[in-house]
Amino acid sequence: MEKIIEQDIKAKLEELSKLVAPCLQCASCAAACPVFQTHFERNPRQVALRLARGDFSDVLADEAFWWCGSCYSCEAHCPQGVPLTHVFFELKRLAVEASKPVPKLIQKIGERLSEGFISPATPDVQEKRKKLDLPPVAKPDLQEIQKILDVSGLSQKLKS
Amino acid sequence: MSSSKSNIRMGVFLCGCGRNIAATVDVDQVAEKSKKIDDVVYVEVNKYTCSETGQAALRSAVREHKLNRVVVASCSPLLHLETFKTTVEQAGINAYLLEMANIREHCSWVHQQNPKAATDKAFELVEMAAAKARYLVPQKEPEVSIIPKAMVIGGGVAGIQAAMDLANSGHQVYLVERTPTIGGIMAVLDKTFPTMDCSICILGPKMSDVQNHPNITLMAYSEVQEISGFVGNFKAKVLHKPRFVTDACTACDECTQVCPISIPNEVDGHLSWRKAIYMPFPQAVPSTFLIDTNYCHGVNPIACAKCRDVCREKGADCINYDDQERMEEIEVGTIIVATGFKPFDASKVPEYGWGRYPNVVTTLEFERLFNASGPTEGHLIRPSDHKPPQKVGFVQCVGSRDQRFNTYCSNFCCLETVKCALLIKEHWPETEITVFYVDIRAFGKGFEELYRKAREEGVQFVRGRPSEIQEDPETQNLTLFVEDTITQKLIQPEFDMVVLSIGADPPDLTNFPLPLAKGSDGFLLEAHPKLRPVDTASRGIFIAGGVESPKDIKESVTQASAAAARASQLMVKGKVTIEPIFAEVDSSLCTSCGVCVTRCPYGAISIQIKGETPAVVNTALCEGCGTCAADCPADCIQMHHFTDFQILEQIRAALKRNPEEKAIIFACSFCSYLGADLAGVSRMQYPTNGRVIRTICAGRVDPDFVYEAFNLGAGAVALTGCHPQDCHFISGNRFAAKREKKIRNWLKKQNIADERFEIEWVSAGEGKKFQQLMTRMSEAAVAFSKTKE
Amino acid sequence: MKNPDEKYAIFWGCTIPLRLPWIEKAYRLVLPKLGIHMVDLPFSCCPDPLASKSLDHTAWLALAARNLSLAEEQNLNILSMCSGCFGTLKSAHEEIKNPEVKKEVNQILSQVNRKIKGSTDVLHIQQWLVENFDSISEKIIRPLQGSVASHTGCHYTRPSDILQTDDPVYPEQLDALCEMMGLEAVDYPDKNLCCGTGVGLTDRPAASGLIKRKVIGAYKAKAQALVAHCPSCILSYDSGQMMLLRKDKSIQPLPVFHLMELLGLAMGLDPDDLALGEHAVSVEEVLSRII
Repeated sequence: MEKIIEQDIKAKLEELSKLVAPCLQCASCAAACPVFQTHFERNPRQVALRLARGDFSDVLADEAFWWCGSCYSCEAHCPQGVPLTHVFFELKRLAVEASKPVPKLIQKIGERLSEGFISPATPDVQEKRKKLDLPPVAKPDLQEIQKILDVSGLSQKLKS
Repeated sequence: MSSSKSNIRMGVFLCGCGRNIAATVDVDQVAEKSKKIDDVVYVEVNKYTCSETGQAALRSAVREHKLNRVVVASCSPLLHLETFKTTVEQAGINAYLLEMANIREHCSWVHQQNPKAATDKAFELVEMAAAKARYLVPQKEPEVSIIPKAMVIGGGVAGIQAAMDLANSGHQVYLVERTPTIGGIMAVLDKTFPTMDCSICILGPKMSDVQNHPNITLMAYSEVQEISGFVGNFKAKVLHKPRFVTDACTACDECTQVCPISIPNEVDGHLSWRKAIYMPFPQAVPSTFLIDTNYCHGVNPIACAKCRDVCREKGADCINYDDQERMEEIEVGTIIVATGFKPFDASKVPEYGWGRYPNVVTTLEFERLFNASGPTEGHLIRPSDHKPPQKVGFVQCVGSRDQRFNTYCSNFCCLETVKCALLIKEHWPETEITVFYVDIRAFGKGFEELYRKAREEGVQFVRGRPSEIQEDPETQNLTLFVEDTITQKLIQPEFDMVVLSIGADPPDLTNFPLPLAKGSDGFLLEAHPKLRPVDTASRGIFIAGGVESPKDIKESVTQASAAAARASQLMVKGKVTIEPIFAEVDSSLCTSCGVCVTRCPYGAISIQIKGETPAVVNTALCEGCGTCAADCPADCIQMHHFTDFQILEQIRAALKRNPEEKAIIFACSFCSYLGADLAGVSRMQYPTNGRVIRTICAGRVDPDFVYEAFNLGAGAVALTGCHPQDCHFISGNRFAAKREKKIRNWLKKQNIADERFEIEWVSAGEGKKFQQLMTRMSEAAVAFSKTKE
Repeated sequence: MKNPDEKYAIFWGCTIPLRLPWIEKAYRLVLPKLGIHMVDLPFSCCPDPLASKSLDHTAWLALAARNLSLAEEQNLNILSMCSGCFGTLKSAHEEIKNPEVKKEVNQILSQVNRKIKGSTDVLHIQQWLVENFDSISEKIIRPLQGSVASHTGCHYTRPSDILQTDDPVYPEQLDALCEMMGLEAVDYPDKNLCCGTGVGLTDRPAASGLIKRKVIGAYKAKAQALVAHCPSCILSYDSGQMMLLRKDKSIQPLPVFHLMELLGLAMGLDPDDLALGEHAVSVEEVLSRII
């Protein structure tokens, strides 16, 4: 099983490598990235470079992609049209699929999806809403949501 | 074998081309079989038909055997067709009674592993050529005289150079410039790289020469409205815009002192003002003022009249409110288009703050700040507080190499910045200068040396593209956000002033009076990127300078001289022959529907739809693409030398044996046939099922040809041509593509599988793509033939 | 699909109803005045375009499609009050245009007896305001005054080829809306800096740093308040700023308004009707200066 997963991962990384191929290493993405602006070692340009060069083991081991805050600034500034934020999402999802550790808060939010909302609908919130003359929070069909989480495979991924 | 009915006496000349053909194709066997083709009375095999020996043998065979049709089976016609046309003409028969079979690039070179199949295919290619040759008729090449005058559109340095070269060669030249003065961008620059010459100092004398040259008629502040005609015989309507100032103007400048209207001065990139009555810059040619009626209160004593009054009192009394625009018609033999490019509009990149932050300027504005006739008389000061900047940053590739704006590199921006940086260092050596780049392109003569000089003078080069420029609201200093990719650190350097090194936007050619082909980048397309860089696809029309692609002064001047030489070449002959491949309408069948007119990008067909007169083709304007013929609903247009019948006969010959295994490929003479040849030259191998039929343009391919092929049982058919923006005949491939729906509907009704028909665009450089197409089509044909078993 | 009578399925998301109900209050007061008919449906989390999207694409798309199908059933378009939800739902709407993707999504939805056609379009409330700019200007009866620093949410404009709302690197719509209300929208350093919500999922201190930069930038340009249109951004700049102020005494507090609150005030609402006291950073002082 492990070998087959690895083949899939390699194939996906090669797909991502093709997406990053037009990169000129101009560093517009790095300059625009709010994460890189605070921490020089978290450099989106470097991730793009490693992918483009095929240094796949580095990319996965480094886990730098988890720092991405999904603001899309890199994509908006890239003169070559490289969809870098999308690449980061794919890398995160690959890590999840390969059962690699997921940052705590992201795992927590994922688990809360089955409750319908990712912020808890606690009694004090209901109170506050009443005080503000607001109707009670809508109740989504939790069974539907759970089913979707199960069928899509996210439930299993969160458990492992 | 001669048919007793016809008087056709066809000769077939097979070429072994050394071993190029003979190694794979058994030419002797093909020769034997060719003897049995109808109307063939003579067959010969030569080792090198194109050599003097081979040609002599051909000539004597034609004379001896009284041949009146010739088939040469050898290399690509795009290589030696003209050669053999001359040969047969020398032998005494019309050059258009010759047809070639491509048994090298399309056969021996691409089927090296399959000599038997290659030999069979070579024979079928000969049969196809014979089928067409049988129905060829002699053609006369019409001759037209050339008016020995030229028109140059655009008065920048390229236009000026072209006009001077032509005038010095003895030709009359009309130089038409849209703005009030000639000189273009070069006239408003400060210095030129790499020599650091004063720009207007070297251009000014040339501008005067243009005005004084007896052979040049300078038409400044004029615009070409309409151009009609054909090579050697163009008619242009030129609109002369009114200046409201006569030639008596002495440029005393009294009028500007009293004019009440101030407008941003476009010459200074809006860094300064000018009046509604103005001279663009001191060295303007013609050296007169003019009134800008877009802003003047009104050229009317009731509205204002201050300028006129002061001119009467203190000046030359040369202001004339009654001036009117005037249309003039001129006739010329050749045209050179040198209308230049547009500087990139930096407001398209809002993250850099141009237009919002006063201390962010473009390189063009910077040149004006440095220029002694600029808004600050040459003192480098920053716009917000007029203080000299201590720290200047340059940002490269603004608007260029960018998928969001212009994908191309604009050629001059790297050296433009190096030059500007050196200018600052020369006068204010203490200024700190940093250039933020992605790549430095210093490819020209003297460029690398200038780049080194900049580094020696202390200009810093940082490799990183800034994502944005922010302004400090108090100091109006600018901070750049950029990663220095060499140190791999984010830096946020602050500057007093930032210069954006802008590139070129493509020229604005909407409403341009000529239907010239543009590349996908928006610039005018040259006839051939390597071998014909200043010709266009339209004979007699040439291009030079920035309108062809962004470039610096030296390259503009070089192209201008080249274009002048090409134009002169045509005009000195006094006459030019027109290739007799044109359309002809059978007026007895024409229903005056007008469809043909909509298909012709050259305006070569005229018709009166309401008057119900039949369409008439101007054969000199017609370029022979055949698009009209293919779409004519009454099927009443014939293309000389590429008639429907000739093409249908080629298809029938190709599908005589085992049609289900064959793939018919239509290829155009400017892109896809060349792509096919390239596949051959590169020895790319593919299956032997394909049979290429050459047309002039993909637009020629009538859906009836496709239907005929399938009705005869063809396994597969492909229509190939130039890529959408590159059609040599401007729109032929576009109209060809439009027929796909109709053809596919027909295929569905006939139960013909989708894969058996394809439309594919193959450029002259895409040999591989052609190989892949041939492979696919062959596979589709083979798959189909298996179903017939 | 077309929108007769301006009737929309309102998408609140999670953050507005459960973290910042005072924003919902402002919407419920102002939207009817704008002529919008609000329909509440049992939507769930959009799901969020940060954490959920990082875990599994299929689940993210299917949950989004479920929400879209709820509105589709009622033949309504969705009007989103949150930028993140807008980003998710609009992207999902575009992805489902691909027949292969639609088929896959419907396979999952069929397991919960749902189906999606893809006819429901998704609008962000700011898009609606911009489209109806002229008619809204006429409703401004109490022009505001003062200078504000506007902040456009990242997920309102990007990825721009899918969302197509405002310029992705230098958006100007929110400025135009502020100026319509009489305010001066200043240009300020770090105007286009992300609020840091996404960054904060894995690095809280870094996110805090981004909030600080925004506040300092706004002050440099002498802005009296920050204006935002996204609840996550407001969570960052209001509660997030409060937490920052407790630790870093060098920063002066910068009040934050939601666009709807300012619009409500400009359209004549009494400040007491809005739950302005619920803000973490007090708006009392600046309120007296802008009205």
